Parts: sequence; structure tokens; C-alpha cells
Amino acid sequence: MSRAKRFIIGGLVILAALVYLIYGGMQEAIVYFVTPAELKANDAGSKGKFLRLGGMVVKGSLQRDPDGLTYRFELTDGSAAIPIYFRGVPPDLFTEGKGAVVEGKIGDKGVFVASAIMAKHSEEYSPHEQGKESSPRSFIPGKEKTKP
Amino acid sequence: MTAGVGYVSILLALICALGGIVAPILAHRTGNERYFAGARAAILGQFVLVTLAASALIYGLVSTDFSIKYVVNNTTRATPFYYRVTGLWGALEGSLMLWEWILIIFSGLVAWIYKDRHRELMPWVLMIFSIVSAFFLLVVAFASNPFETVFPVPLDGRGLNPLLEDANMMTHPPLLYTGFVGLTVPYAFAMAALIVGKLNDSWIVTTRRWTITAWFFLTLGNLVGAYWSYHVLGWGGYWAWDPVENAAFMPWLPATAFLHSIQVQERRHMLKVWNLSLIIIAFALTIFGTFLTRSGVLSSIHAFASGPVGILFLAFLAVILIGSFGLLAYRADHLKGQPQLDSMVSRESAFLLNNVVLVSALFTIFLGTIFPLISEAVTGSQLSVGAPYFNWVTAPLFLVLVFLMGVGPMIAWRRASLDNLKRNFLWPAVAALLIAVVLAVGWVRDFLPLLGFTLCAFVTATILFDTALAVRARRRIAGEGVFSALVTLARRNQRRYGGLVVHLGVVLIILGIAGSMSYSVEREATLGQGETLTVGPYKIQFQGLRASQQPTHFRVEGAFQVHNNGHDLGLLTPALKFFPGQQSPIGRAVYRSSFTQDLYLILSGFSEIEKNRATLRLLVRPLLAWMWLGGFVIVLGTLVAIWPPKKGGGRRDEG
Amino acid sequence: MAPWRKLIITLAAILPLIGILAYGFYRDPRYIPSPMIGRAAPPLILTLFDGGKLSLADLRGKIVFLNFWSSWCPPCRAEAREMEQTWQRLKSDNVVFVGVQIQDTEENGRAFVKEFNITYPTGLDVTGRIAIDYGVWGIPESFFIDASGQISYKHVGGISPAIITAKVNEARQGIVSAKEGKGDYQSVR
Repeated sequence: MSRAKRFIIGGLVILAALVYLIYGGMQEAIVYFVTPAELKANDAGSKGKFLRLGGMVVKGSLQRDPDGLTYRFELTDGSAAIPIYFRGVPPDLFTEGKGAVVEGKIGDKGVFVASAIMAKHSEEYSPHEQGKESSPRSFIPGKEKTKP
Repeated sequence: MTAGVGYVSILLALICALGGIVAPILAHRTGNERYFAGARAAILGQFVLVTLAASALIYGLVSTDFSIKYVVNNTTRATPFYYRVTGLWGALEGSLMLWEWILIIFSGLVAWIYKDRHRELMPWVLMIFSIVSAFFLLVVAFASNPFETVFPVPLDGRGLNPLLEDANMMTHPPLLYTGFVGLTVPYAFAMAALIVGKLNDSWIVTTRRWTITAWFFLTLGNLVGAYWSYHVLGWGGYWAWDPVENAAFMPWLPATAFLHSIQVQERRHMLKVWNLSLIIIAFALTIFGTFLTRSGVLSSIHAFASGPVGILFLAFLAVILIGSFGLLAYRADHLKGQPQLDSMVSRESAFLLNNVVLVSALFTIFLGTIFPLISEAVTGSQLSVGAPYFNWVTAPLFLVLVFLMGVGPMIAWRRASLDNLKRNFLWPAVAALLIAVVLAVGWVRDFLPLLGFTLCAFVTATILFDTALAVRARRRIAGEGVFSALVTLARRNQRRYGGLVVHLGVVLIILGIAGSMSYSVEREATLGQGETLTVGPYKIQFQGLRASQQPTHFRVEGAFQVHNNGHDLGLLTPALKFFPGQQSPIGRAVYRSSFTQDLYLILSGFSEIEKNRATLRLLVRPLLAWMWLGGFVIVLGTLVAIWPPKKGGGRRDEG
Repeated sequence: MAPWRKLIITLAAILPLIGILAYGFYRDPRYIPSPMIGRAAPPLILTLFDGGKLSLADLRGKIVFLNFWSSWCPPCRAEAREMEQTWQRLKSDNVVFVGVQIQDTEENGRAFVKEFNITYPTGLDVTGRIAIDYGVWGIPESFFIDASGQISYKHVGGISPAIITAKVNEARQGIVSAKEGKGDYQSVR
């Protein structure tokens, strides 16, 4: 085999490995952004996909279970509302009537099982750095395995 | 007054910079050598004027001159002195000012150090500096002016973001900026060499030291940033693969690649176009990073405000990429005639592979970072790429890199004989395999961390083995003791031994990452007073809540008595701080560090204070402390590598 | 290969990248549409600094400009003077300006009102309930409520007298804006 050929084959192998890595990684980690109305409209197609859902927490819908760690509420964009189930500690800015973004998958009976809540906070006026602790999507080593 | 002095200095410096761009071109056109002196004078002028402007801004901050808008937004009367100074890089306008200042300091240093060398290149080197400086001055003067005044003058300022009031915050941005700016030096030399068409290797040798320096600051900047994130932000992690973090990390990859491939060019005169491309990419990435941070085109938790600055940086990025690669394409004929690889098993090919892996890592991180933009532009669907993508993609690449870190420095140039391989790698490989078996039998059951630890052991073993052989040889020849033999060896070949020490530091960092990524434990619980949570060897008893009014904020802290295997670790008090004018409280996590693992406590919520119930988040992060230790080892190694060589002794690195 | 060909290849590689990045300026990665516009304004009762009580229900039939502000927020300071001037121009025209101070202390609020000579009704949202009802994320934010009590426009960030006048007139004609507006204020962070 000539030298040039060997180099081309080596390059192709590396390229293939890279494409595999990127493709596999993307499958794992891509999060689509949807609104409650879009999710309602395409319920079946959204099953199993990791989604980010943004909207307002419906007033009066927020329930906290006695264990203090389980939350149920509804998220609306004005035309549709999606029930959300979340276990964990929500960010400080999370309250009824405010904007919130949740990440997770649609589960049985149309309930959205959120693995993280990111409260929206003011975009232009307050320092963004403070958002770090309210963005649990951040990479916490060891945690990514438990993501559904 | 202060604002006036600062602003006028900036405008005058801009004029100097324009002069510095025109002078070398005039000299070239007219053949009048005197214009070359103009290029130097322009740098000197900018140095004085920008220093004056930066000093004016610092003075304004320190003397709380609230007629300056920037001062209002970044200090209050109550701000202590050192946080007034750090206000210089607390926000966009000031950090651009700081960037320009560091840039012009670097330019001045280059102009001064090489006043008698590189006669042909220097005017063009200084011209490139003036171009970059002119861009930053333009931005500072017209798009993000730190000397903007307010009227009426407010009585007090708004103050620095409380999160920035941390000792690490004082060091993190200047370190990063120094790293970024440092990469301008090799870029300026590369461009000058391309302009002149003199593409011999002497300039590239000159830029090596500068690149090491820039690399060093980049590494430290990223590590301190990670430490700050871990120490202050209170979410328990140190790296989130956020676009802004990626922006700071990406230039590190081509810079690292360049430091390795440049050795191949020095030795074998290969990879010329490749090396030039790496320099251009590294420099362009520093501008890209600022674009990303300042434009708000990607959602980031660190995002600064948007505005015309982002567009200007994008335009400059386009100019750099098109100009530099255009010039490279134009000169490519001068770069031909490179010898080929003799064998796949050689140091050249190890370094080549190292470069391929580093550039692959860069490509994947870059792609993941801007993928939301691509997706929205092409298919219209909004999405984000999460941390798992980056972890998944980079882990194997970095593992290959660790392996190469063991192989590269020891394998022979040109063609490694079987004998060479056996001599250098047999025993280290055996040692690493032994450790792997012990680990596998003991506690490490997962493949990736086991591979990671084994490779770390392999690299360490190769370095120790090689050094031990060399020390033995010296003892035999010169009859020196172990320590003085080590010193002589390091002195004789600073680059090599400095590099090896840096490699050891990187191994420690990989150890910390592998340990904390694979074996972290995370637990969350709501505790009443007196209740105890047990996690592994730790027993955490909740003692109650305490509230207090601090000078700048209201503070609620939870007191937790912590025992490790019955051993008392004392009272840990994670807190939530409520600042007036901030929408959400800021968490103050606390942790206990040890060489085996960190215990990290976050107070994530509480009931009314009388009821004394708190929600605690607890993280156990094994081996994390080694990461910070690795940083210190890297500092040590870099110092060994760039320590000025003894007069007459050692080898001269400089061209 | 001819040099110009290489240049074309270089451009072909770089320009799409720059294009993609430039595209980023046409979108806001953090945008979530506000469900407030076109809805009935949530009821609001505010204790004013002068001791009086203001109820939104009593203002039915008037155009209400509701401004959320805070004494520590730079754009609020920047627009305060002009807002008072706009109020002086519009107040005889069946328009009411209401200032709601949030995330701040009453003491600061009074000082602010005094500093800028604010004469329209202003008070502190002590519990933060009003801000929550209106889904306020940042400061300043402004709402325009028409005569029927419907929110006709929402503005995020600093607002100019020209926009206030234009949107008050639209509210008078029953025009409801399709989207919320954004201030030209650039924050320092």
C-alpha cells in the first residue's frame, strides 16, 4: 500500500470516529425548545424526546407534596396548559404567575416529567452570573447519568 | 475631569494606532527607512496614552467619581478599596479597556525586547499590533465607552455584582485576558512573516516562548475560573460547558497543539502551513470568544449585555479570518518542500496525532457551541446542546491525548526502533497495568474511569522512569547526588523537563476530573432540627437556622455538624444571601476538601426561620482537590520551561 | 492551484460561518412570548407614598400607564425625569400614570420621588404580589391598560416619551400590540 493511501485511510478512520462521536453525543444531549401549544399539537411525536418547555406557571396550580421535594404545576403559553411533575429543588425565582422553563420528557397520561426547572429571570437588568445556581442544567459530574 | 482625561487619551491613542498602521506601508512604498521608526513610536505613544486612560478609570473607581456612568454601575461608597479596583473588569466597558491595556503592554514588551532583532519583520509585527489595538480603541471610544458621564451626578453607585466580590474574581478575568492577548504575539509574527514572505523558521522559534506564556495564562485563567465556579457559585460543579466557558477554553486547544507541532517544525521543517493555521485559529478564537460573550447570540448564564459591540467583533473576526487565511493561501507556494513522515511509529507522528486530536476536540466543542444557531438558521427549530454532548465527545479524545502524553516525549524522532520502544515503555506499561489490576480488583469497576486512571498511571510511570534513567546516568558520569543530578538535568534541558512537569500537572487535573465525574454522589433532603443525614462515611446533623443582617445583605445560614467516620469535621454553615436589589438569593456553599474526596454542602431552601427546617443538597466529589494541585504543578513546570537559561550554558531558545 | 482559486476556497469556508454567527443577531435565545398582552389586567391595589390607596378597578374608563421601577435601577433613573414631563403633558387627557416600586425599600422610594419631583401616583409593592401578578421579570417594565381594563401593550426595559405617547394613543383607539416591546437601554453587564 502506498504512503498516500495509508494516510487517506488513516484520515478516514479518524473522521468516521469523529462523526460517530458527534452524532452519538448529539442524540444524547440535544434539547428541543417547545411551547405548551406546540407540545399539545404534537403529543405523539414528542414522546421520548428530551424537551425544553417554556411558559408561565398557572396561578393556583402549584402543589408541593408533604416531603417538600415534589412539585406539581401547570405551564401555559396562553393557549394550552401542560401539567408538570418535578422532583427536586426548584430555583429561587420559581413561583406562580412567573415565567419558567422546564427540561424533561413527556411521560404517561400527558404529564411532563421535568428533570430541571430553570426560572426565567430578567434578561437585561440583573447580573446574569447569579443565574448559575438557578440553572441546574449545568453539568454536575455524576448527575448526567441519572438523566432520563 | 477624570473622564475627560481618559477619553481624550483614548482618542489620541487611536490616532497613534492609525499612524502605526500607515507607517510601515509608507516605508515599504517610499523605501524610506525612517517610517519604520514611526511604527515603534506609535506603539510607544499608545502604551503611554492607554496606560493613562486605564489609570484614569482606576482613579475614577477608587475615588468613586460618580459623574462617570461606569463608576456608578460598579462601585458604591461602601465598596472596599480592592473591589473598587477590580471594578475595572466588572463590566463590559472596563474589561475591554483592560484588554486593550494588556495588549499594548505586550506590544510594548515585544517592541522593546526585539529592538535589534528581526529587523525585517518588526515593522510589520508592530503594524499588526497597531491594527488589533486600533480595533479595540475604536470599540472603547465609540461603542462601549467607559468614560461616559452621567448628569445629574448620583449620590451613590449601584455597586458591583455581589458574586464578583470574591478574591478569585480579582484574578480570573485578568489571567484569561492575558492569555488571550498573549496569543496576539505569535499571530503578529506569523502575519509579518507572511507579509514579508520570509518563512524561515527563526520567527517561529521566537514566538514559542510567547506562546508558552500565553498558554500558561490561559490554563491558569480557566482553572481559576473553574475554581471560582466551584468555590463561589455554589452549584457544586466547576465546568458547565456553557458557551462562555467554551469560548475561554477553545483558544487553549490550538495553542496547545501549536506548542507541540512547533517542535516538529523546528526539528524536521514540516507542518509549516499547519502551524500558521493553528496560530491564526487560536488568535481568531480569542476574538470569537469576546464576540460570543458580548453579542448575546447564544443563551448563556454568563452573558453580558448585547449591543453594537457584538457586531463590531463579528466584523473584526471576519476581517481576521479572511485576511489571514487569504494571505496564507497567497503565500502557500513559499511553504512547500516539506519532508514527509518517515514512519508512523515516531515522535513526529505522535505529535501529529496529538494535533489531530486537539483540533478534533476543538471542532466538536465549536460545533456543539454554535449548533443551536445552525439548527435555527437551517431548520428553524430551537434547541440547545447540553453538557452530556460535550462530555461524551471530549472524554475519548482526551483519553487518547493522555495516552499520547505518555508516548510523545519518550519515543524516538524519525523512526522508533523496537529497542527504543522496549527500553522506554516496557516497564511503565507493566507498572500501569499492575495499577489497573489493583484498581479493578479494589473499587473501580467502570471502563472509562478505569482506563483514565490507568493512562494517568502510565504517563506518570513513563516520566518517572525516564527521569530515573537520566539521573542514574548522570550519577555514573558526574558522580552527582540525586537532587543535584535532577537540577543539572533540568538546567540542561529546561524545555523538556519543564514540559514533563507540566504533563504531570495535567495528569493530576485529569485525575480530578475523572474521579469527580465518575464517582460523585448527590443527595437532597429536607431536615428538621436535630435530624441526621448519613451519606457514605459522612454523618450530617442539622443544628438549626440562623438569620442575620449583614452590612450589604440579609443572610440565612443553616448549621450542620459534620462527622466523617466518627471523626469530627466541625460545624459547616452553608448560607443563602439576600441582597437588596437582587431578584433571587445567592447561595454560599461550603465544603471540606481532602485528598480523597470533597464534601460540598448547599443550603437550597428553608421553612420560616422559627420552624427550623432546611433543605440541604449534599455532594461528595472524589479526588477533586487534585485538580487544583495540578494547577500548581503546571505553574512550576512552566517556570522551569521559561526560566532564563544560564549565560553560556543551556541551549538558546531565542532566534 | 492559482492563488485566486485558493482565495475563493478560503472565502467559501469562512463566509458561511460568519453568516451563521451574524444570523444570531436576528434572534433572541431567551425569548418567551408574554401571555399578558390582550388579557384583562390583574386587579391591583397599591398603597401610595402620600398615604392614599389606589385601585385599578376605579380607573376603568381611563388609559393607565403602569410602570414598575426601583431606585437602584439605572434605566429607571434615566427615564424618571422625562416620564414626569410626559405625565404633565398627558394628564389632562383621561390618562393615569401609576408607578409601582418593587424590590426596594420605601425610604429609597420616597427619596427617588423627591429627587425627580414625581407627581403621579406612586407606591411600594410591599409583598411583591403585584409584580408576580403581572409577571414582571425585570426592571423597568411598563404596561398600558386601555379603558376596558385590557392590557394593550407591554414594554420591557427603558421607555421613551415618544413610545409612551404613541402607545397611549393606540390604547385609546383600542389597538392591541401583537408583541411586547423592548427598551433601548443597554445594561452594563
